[in-house]
Amino acid sequence: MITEMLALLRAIWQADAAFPSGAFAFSYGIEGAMALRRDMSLCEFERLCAAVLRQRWASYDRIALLRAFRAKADIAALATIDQEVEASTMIEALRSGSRRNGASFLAAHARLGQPFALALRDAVKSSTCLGHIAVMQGAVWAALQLDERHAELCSAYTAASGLITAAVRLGSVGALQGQAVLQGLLPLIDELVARPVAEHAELESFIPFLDVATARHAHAELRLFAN
Amino acid sequence: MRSLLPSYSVSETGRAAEAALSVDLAGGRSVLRRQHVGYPLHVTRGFYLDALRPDLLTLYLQSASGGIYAGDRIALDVVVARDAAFHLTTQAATVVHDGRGIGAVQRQTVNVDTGAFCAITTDPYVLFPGASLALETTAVVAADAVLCVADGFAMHDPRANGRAFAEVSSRLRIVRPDGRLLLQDAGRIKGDQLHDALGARTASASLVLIAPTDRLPPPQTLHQVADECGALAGASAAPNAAGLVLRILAPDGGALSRAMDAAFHVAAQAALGVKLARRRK
Repeated sequence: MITEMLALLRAIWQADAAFPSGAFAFSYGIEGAMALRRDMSLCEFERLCAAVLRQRWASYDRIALLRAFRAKADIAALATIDQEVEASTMIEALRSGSRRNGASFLAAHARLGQPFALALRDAVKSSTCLGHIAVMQGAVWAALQLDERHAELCSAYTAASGLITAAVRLGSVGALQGQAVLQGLLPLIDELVARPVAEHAELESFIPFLDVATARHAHAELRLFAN
Repeated sequence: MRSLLPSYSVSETGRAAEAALSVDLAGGRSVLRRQHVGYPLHVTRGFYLDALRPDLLTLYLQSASGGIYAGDRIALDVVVARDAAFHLTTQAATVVHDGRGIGAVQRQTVNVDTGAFCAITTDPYVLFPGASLALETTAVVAADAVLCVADGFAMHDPRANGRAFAEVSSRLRIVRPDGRLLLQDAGRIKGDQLHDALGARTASASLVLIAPTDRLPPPQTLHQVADECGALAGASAAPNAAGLVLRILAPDGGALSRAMDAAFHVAAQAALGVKLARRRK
């Protein structure tokens, strides 16, 4: 066991954008959405980010993360969760992006010598696991002995900051404007994480605008992000 | 006889309606081998609308009661036997009335045997203020069979008083006969949160085409024909190389319905190798 403070410090470390998790390569559909709605106002962007947290993160990524976190390093159980995430992600660019992001995340932890990340990386290499990011985060953060609630906060925070970072890099939102949006989303993250999760909760997601945007953007000639 | 869907808990209001349709190939035509349709559901006689696929049976499913009401529990069981070809569709959009806190459930189980073609295309559900609807579809599809499922909804506020539907949820689970999960598409939305999830539109649908790779249309053709109907659509390869998924957004139920119809015809043409006739409604 580690101390509460060390667990908290590790959570901060994992939520830090400086950690090389590979997330910078993905826009989670924001690039496609901005291409469809070039006139999107800052307020609309904030509402879209809130919709992603509410309609995808809370009912989908969070569920996969928690299941993986509670799998107690059981590779077979993690593989099952991974397969369910694969079967439940309808849009190819989001599926492949999630796997690639998961692989980058694992690679960083493996290079840092985290033993379970090394085992998971082998499981992905041998196709035992698919390596979806939410599943890998749950498994590795459990191995790092993060508090479960902190792991959820990390996941939600990195999802929100990832959307905003993508919008800033696309030039759609100013750096300070992005931070204002992020600040505005923190109470929502707090509210969502406080909601209990049913034991057998299914993976649910409903944000068809981003699905459409991502699917169309996969065929775009010029893209900054992988999805 | 196949067992019908699991029993529902008894509610004080609403109806428990069950329908079961089994389609076989006999004498070169797909025919209804068994039919059980309880009130308020009704099916028309079978139509053979496609000169280029004279074996393809088309049925229209109707509601005799003017829509779906609070407490309704509707179950539909469809079995399409080996090499049969079947299209089940609706004659018009279905109104979903105020759910009064208990909502309505529509469940479908579908079994598509080897070499068979099954399309279940439902015109949009029109969600009135307070409506609450859960759609649940479970399908077993043989590796060389084709299943096309399309459904969606449009929000409608007839008095324009700003009152949205309560909630709509959808769960589609498709497996192979050996139980292997191909895809599971589940989601729910509350009416007051629809605006952002739909990119400021009020109607949304999905079309899922499960078919061998050589019987799929190009994804971009699917979304282009939907776009030409005034919708905004995006198509993608489905998980586990199962087929294609098309998401459609539209400004209203009419545009959504036209886009769904156009996409169905593209999907069916690729899957069957012939262009199907227009389904008159």
